[in-house]
Amino acid sequence: MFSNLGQAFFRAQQASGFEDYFRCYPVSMMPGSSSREVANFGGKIFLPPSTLHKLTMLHISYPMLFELTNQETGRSTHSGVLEFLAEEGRCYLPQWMMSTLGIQTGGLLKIKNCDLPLGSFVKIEPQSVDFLEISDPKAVLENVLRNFTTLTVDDIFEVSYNNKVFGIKVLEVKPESSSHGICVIETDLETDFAPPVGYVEPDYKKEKKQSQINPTATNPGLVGQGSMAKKINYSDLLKQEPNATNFQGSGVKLSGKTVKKEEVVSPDTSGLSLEGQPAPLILPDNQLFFGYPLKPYKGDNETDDKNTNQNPLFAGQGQTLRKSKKRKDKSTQSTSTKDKTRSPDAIIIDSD
Amino acid sequence: MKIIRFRTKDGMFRVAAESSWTLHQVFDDLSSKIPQFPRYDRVYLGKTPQDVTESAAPYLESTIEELNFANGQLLYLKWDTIGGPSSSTQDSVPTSNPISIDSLGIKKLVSAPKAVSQLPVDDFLDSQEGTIPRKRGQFCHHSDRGMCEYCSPLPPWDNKYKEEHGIKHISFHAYVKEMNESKNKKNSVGSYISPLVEQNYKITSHCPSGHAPWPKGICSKCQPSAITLQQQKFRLVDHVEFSSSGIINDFINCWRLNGCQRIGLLMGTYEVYDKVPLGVKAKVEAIYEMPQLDLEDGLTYTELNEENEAALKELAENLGLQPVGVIFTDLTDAGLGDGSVICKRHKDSFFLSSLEIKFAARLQLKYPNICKWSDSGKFSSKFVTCVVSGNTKGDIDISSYQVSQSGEALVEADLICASTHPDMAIVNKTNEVRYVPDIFFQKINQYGIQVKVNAKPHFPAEYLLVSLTHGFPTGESQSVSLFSDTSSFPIENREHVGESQDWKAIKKSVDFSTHDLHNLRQSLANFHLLLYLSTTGILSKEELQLLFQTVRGKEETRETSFYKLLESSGFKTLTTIIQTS
Repeated sequence: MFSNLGQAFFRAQQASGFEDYFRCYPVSMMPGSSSREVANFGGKIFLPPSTLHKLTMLHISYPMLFELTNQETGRSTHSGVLEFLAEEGRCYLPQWMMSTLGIQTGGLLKIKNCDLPLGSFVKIEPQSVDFLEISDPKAVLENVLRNFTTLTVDDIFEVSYNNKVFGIKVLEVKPESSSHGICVIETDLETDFAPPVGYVEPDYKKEKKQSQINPTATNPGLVGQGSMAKKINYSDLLKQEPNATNFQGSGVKLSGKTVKKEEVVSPDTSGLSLEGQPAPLILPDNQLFFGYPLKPYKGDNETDDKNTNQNPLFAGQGQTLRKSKKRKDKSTQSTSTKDKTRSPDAIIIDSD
Repeated sequence: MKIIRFRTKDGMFRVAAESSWTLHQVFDDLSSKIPQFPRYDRVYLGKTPQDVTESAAPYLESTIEELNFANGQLLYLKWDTIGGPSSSTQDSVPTSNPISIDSLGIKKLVSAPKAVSQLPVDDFLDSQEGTIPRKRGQFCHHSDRGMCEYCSPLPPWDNKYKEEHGIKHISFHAYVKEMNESKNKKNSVGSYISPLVEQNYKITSHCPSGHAPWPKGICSKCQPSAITLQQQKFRLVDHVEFSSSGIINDFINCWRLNGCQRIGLLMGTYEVYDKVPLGVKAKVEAIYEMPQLDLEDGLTYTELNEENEAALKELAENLGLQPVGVIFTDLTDAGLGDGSVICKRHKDSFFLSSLEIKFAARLQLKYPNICKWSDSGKFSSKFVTCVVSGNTKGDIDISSYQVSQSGEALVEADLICASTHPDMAIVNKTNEVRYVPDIFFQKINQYGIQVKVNAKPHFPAEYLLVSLTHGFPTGESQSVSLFSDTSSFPIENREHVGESQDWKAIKKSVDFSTHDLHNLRQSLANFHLLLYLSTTGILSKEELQLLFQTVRGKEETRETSFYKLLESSGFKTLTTIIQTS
């Protein structure tokens, strides 16, 4: 193939190369019921059959790669060709290519055939954090990039996986060239991922701590569900009479209609707790049971924090209109005359 | 039909008698009315209250007619209450003043502590004063030779000393001395009141006041009084010492292998503990693991069959050991990968669940403490209960507890029941078999006042516990463990984790072909190996005795016994079997 490539290249250089203008339309507007979805999420376009004739005359090198340029904005990208089924003078592009080029439907596009080096490395940046949810991005990309012939720097191509659309931007490619594009057919491409747009680094230490304080999730013996607990039917003993109230019996309506009985919801067995009244636990003399629901140990500082953090619902001092008789500072009031020494009731003056 | 009235010290009684009845029959009728009616020949009759001297004995067979009793006649009856086995003291509660009758028939009251044989540690501590010496203090204004209240020795039950040194409960002997001080010193020399009274919450089935037993009748004499639960001030054992950390490590190893809990019987002795005034420590030499079925959240152990129990008892006696307690694990891995375990037992949850408290109380009742200061000859128990669980830092740690004497009495009278909430104990209801009195416990309520709260229907079980310290021998202590650490013979009843006791195991752990006799002796000094050998029957009884003596006792006797053992035929047979297996 390489020798062939060299020959074809030589021959292509003799001819002037293919260059033409087309009106471009999104793939979804293309008549026919072929699977537009695949085409829309690929990197190949539809060209008219006349292009095929021209190209075969010119003996260009395969694979057929084209450089698309929007003359108005100056933006350009590269692509391959899917089928020569478009109407004359028209080409159909995937939606993302139209936005990358910044071209309107029906706009004029210059398509020129070109040559791109085989890619060895590409650095891509997912445009949304959802990309991280994919369990095996490598496999997804491998599948998806089968629909692509080329990758150009600053392309934001779209791929569909699991009914979701992910936008991916190409940040850099190797080998670098003036065209800023690579051919991705039949080549091993080393991929590097940049952090997706909108990604915040999580606090790993906090996460580790949080995962530590929940061993009850993995150990049934700590929630009263261990093997011995099942043997002695501990959960039943603990949950006896969950709906006991002081008021038994059904209600009666004045209108005479029957009162619907509430459906007794079966209690959730996954979490046994020690709320409710203690029930007798009678086991034979030679048996010991340890599987009570766990009450984890709270360090002393934690309980203190809890106390101080409890925000009082109504902060602030209260005011009262009435002057309270029990005010502590009595300096404003007149001094009490309770136990003071009094002058005698009658003062006898010796008039002699 | 004549009505004859009898006036006795118990009251007035009427008998409607036929003329043909004999006095004997009349007395039959009376004895059904008077519960403590004595033998008829001891009854005295009289027509006036002053003159009741005529014995009824000769007239028992005479009829009423012959005796000329008129209708409505009032007769006075009298009888001796003291003396004679036919008197009313058949079912009486044993008193602290046993009556002894010497050969002359003179009754005298013997007041002294019970003549029972206590453990040697108890006898030793009884002989000690136990006072805590003090040096010249800050407030002493006298010369070196003098002594004042600030430097005089403290009594062992001193509260301030206890708080300063962080001792949670005073030792049992300190408590006995305190009780003796208050009860017996003030009294005259003659009388002795035993300082300790065992609490008994059972209803007395044959009440002396003569009514039908419960549930048909009850009175204030036989009914148990209201119980107030309190933290027990003292504890029978203050400290648990494991003679080597290897003992515990081997015990926990079973959990490490299969994740299931394990229970074992602590075999050891009781000795003086010097860190606490008049303290007692339980020195654990080995842990015997009985046959059991283990799960990760519970266990069931089977009672030993006859011969194994006998073998264990014999081995224990020969080595001078006794069951001093029980130990069980409650370990759950924390999943962090560093070997830490979850802390399940702490001050906010529970220390010993109500089920475990009942279990411990039953065992304590099985192994009572013989005490001469108690009116019944025994008081509580020295049996301890140890739990291996996670402490607040996540490390594997041991906690030791004992149930208080009132807790034991509650379990004996079947008044409490374990509950699904481990920190609570449920009070049983009264039924035909048991009578449950009012139970109260002291609590500080939301207003900060100490109040008595009714314990029904449930109460915090920690009121029945006392806690003990535990430890391992420090370098300075002279006591050397009875068994050596070096032997790696597998522990009994561990077949399910792959450690079985057989000849191959013996071969691995004991090198019989060695010439280093000291080493051989050391490797034979393993409790589990000795127990296994005593059950195999290869060695005869005398040879087994020699074997036990090589482990225990003074150095010279040990050596001679060892050499004799080596010469014995049974031992040679054993060596041959091992070497050819």
